[in-house]
Amino acid sequence: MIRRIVKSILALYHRSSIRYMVFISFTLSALLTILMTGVTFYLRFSNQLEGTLHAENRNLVEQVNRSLNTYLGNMIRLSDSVSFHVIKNMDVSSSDVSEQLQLLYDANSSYVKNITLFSADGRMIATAPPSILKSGVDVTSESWFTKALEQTENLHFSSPIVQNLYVDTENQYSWVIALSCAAEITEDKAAKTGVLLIDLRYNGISELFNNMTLSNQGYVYLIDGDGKIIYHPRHQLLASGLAEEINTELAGYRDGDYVIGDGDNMRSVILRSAGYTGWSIVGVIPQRGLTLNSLQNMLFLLAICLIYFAIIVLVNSLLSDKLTDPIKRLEQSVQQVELGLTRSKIYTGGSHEIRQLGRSIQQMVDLMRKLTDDIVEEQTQKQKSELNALQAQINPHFLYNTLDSLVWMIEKGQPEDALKIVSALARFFRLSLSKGKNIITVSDELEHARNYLMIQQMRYKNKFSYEIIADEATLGMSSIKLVLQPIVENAIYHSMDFMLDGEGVITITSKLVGCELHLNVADNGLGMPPELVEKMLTQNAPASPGSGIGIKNVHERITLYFGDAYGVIIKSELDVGTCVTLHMPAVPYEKMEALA
Amino acid sequence: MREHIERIFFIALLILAAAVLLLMFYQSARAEDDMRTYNISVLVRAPSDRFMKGIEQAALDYNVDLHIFSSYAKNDSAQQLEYLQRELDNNADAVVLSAEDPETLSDYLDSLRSRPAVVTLGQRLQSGKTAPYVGVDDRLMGERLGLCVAEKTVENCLILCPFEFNPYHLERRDGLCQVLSEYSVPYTILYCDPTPASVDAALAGKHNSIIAILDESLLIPVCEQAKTNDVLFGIGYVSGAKQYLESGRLNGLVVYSEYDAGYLSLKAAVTTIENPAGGDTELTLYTATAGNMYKEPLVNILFPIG
Repeated sequence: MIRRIVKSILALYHRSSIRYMVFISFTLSALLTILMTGVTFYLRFSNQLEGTLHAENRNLVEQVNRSLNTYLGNMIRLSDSVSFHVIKNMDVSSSDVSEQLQLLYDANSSYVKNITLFSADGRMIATAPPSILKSGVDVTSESWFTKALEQTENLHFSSPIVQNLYVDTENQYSWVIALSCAAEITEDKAAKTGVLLIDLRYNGISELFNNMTLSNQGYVYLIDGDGKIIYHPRHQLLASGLAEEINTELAGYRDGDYVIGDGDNMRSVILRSAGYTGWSIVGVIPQRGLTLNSLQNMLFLLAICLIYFAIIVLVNSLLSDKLTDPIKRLEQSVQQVELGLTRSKIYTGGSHEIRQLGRSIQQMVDLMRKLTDDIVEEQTQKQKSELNALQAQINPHFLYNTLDSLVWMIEKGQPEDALKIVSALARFFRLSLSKGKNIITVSDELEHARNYLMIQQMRYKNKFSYEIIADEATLGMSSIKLVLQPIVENAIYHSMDFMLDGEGVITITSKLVGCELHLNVADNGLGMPPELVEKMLTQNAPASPGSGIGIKNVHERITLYFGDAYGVIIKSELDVGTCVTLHMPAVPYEKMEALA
Repeated sequence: MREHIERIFFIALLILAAAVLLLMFYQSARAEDDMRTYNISVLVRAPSDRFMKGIEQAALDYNVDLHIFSSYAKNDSAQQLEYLQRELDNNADAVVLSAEDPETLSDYLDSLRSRPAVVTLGQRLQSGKTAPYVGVDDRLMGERLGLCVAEKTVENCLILCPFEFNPYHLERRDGLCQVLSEYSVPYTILYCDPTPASVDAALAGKHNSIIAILDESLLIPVCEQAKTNDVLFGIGYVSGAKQYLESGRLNGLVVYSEYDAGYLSLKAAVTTIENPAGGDTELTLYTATAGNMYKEPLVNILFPIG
């Protein structure tokens, strides 16, 4: 499966243009960068935000805790003052304890509703402010009273209650927290145990928590050791059952930070114990919308990422176009050349490398074009030369003179000679055509020269003799056709014509010299001066009146076919003779045929 | 071709980004809606502290800008309607009211073209154009009072009704009378003003009875004027009744949580603004006595904390 996917990706890669690959690569890498950067920063800031908010909330809770501890400490000190500085030092039966209590009450009336001293049997001994106990009230059944006597070493704080001990003519009600403890009293000079009750105003505690809000509409409340609520901003709603809280659950928790609930109900809870009392302060922070994980923030982040991604796609598209357009244009201009439009200009724009590439390709195309032109020129030259050679073979003068000779021979009654000439002429023209081939065997070229010599010998009435000496090994080699006859023609017209009858000798030899084929045409004629020898190959020598297209044509044709290393070499000495050597590579005819 | 695909891809991304932004703005608008401030008027004559505490807590919880009108005269339904009209004309989002005359109010609401966001306290109206109601069934209150009376050995029960008798009193009286009849308790219906003299006159020569007080306005004067042998029961709670209930002078009071009434009526008003087809809320009835008035749940009902 994976291999198939990889294969299809590779196939797509091979089919795709460079522009598309650049675009995809840029886009994917940008997308990856955005995602990684976005996720990294999001997580970092999210964690930081959570951490900061949590630290702030924790500080607030601890601040409330400190305030509460201060308050409770003050109340405990008040209780101690009453117990140890007032009650302990007095005989309650003879002293006006109430007056002392009143002083302490006055100093703390904003926090304290009542300070009352009871005997162990529930009789009210002293109270401040002055109050009358309601008839029928039995304090000994109250939990604050019994706890104080059961655990005499401790101070006891009750949960909030409506004070209902004293006669109240104003029909008001007060929520209080009963702070009670056992007190050592002296009554009638006897040491006894009593119970000190200090009713703490509920608003003394509620004011510490009022307006205390935590982040994200969080709140703080207070519970006792059993999880019962002492203060809650929605206390009445909880009592009415119109709201819910997890206070009883938290009773067993130790101080710390917790996350409770899940989904939309997830809450962060900070729990701190308040000193002395066994109470705990609970800070609750709803998690919904607190962090960057809110739906709005996620949507914002998603929108930003999409916009950035869209911009990147656009930029990448433009960039890919800009980068690959020169390559495309270069490709198009190369395609033009492929289609044969070699004259079209190769694109040389774009970046440095593309320009270099374009210039190199242009040079290559120019060279290619030049070489092609050279080849065409060469082929044209060859064809021209061959055409010239062919044209020469059907030179009217040669034909005319030969036919003239024929007529003369027939008139003279020399039919055998005439027949020889006609046969030689037929063979001469047949070999001249050679079925349109440009390369023939050395044997055929020598035969062609022999026929020509035979005709010319008869025409010149045996003014010269000739000899053809050919190495057996050369007969099967390749030769360009019609290369010997012009040399022989030259030799006849420029040398033999001026010789005395019979003295002229033309020798044609064919031999292998190393890897070369040498065809020599030597005569013992007048020779040529060096200047003329030089001119022979460079200027178009005028065609001889008989037939001949010049040594230059032969030289050109050899060099055209086989290269500048081959051609015609003329050696001549005045009054001695001339030797014209045709250099050609020694290539067997079959091989040359196969190459063609 | 590929460039064409790229163009489509780019446009698709922009459209997707626009859709996500729209969704985000919609979420933001919804969040703002959640933080919306509601303008709600409350037309309740002489609301108790307990009721006000409930209303104020609800105003805090539901972000309500509260307008309270309580100064119209008792049983003056015309003035109440005038206030109601004015508040509706002033584009109040909702109105909470305790109808002085339920029938008149029903007729008025029926005359309106559209259904206003009105939450009634106390009695359910006949009009089909009211919003939910929050309150207690007065008939049930009467029946509960009857049960309290029937538990005592009763030779005769005096039913004290205020002269300003309204449909609420009628329901209570009918419920009380039905139970007393079921328990074969003879009863006498008396009318008086909530003044000591009027109460005294009504009770003259009828003491040593069980007295069932149908309206909270009569509680204090009856407690003051009743004799020691009179056994008193009542409906409703006022602050002044605390000492009488404590002392046992009032043997029992049929009460409900006025704090809850205040809170739930405002909550119902807010709910009605968003969704007119809300449900009614019946509050729970309790019987408060000297023995349980300082214990839960009655301590929170009679003496709301905070």
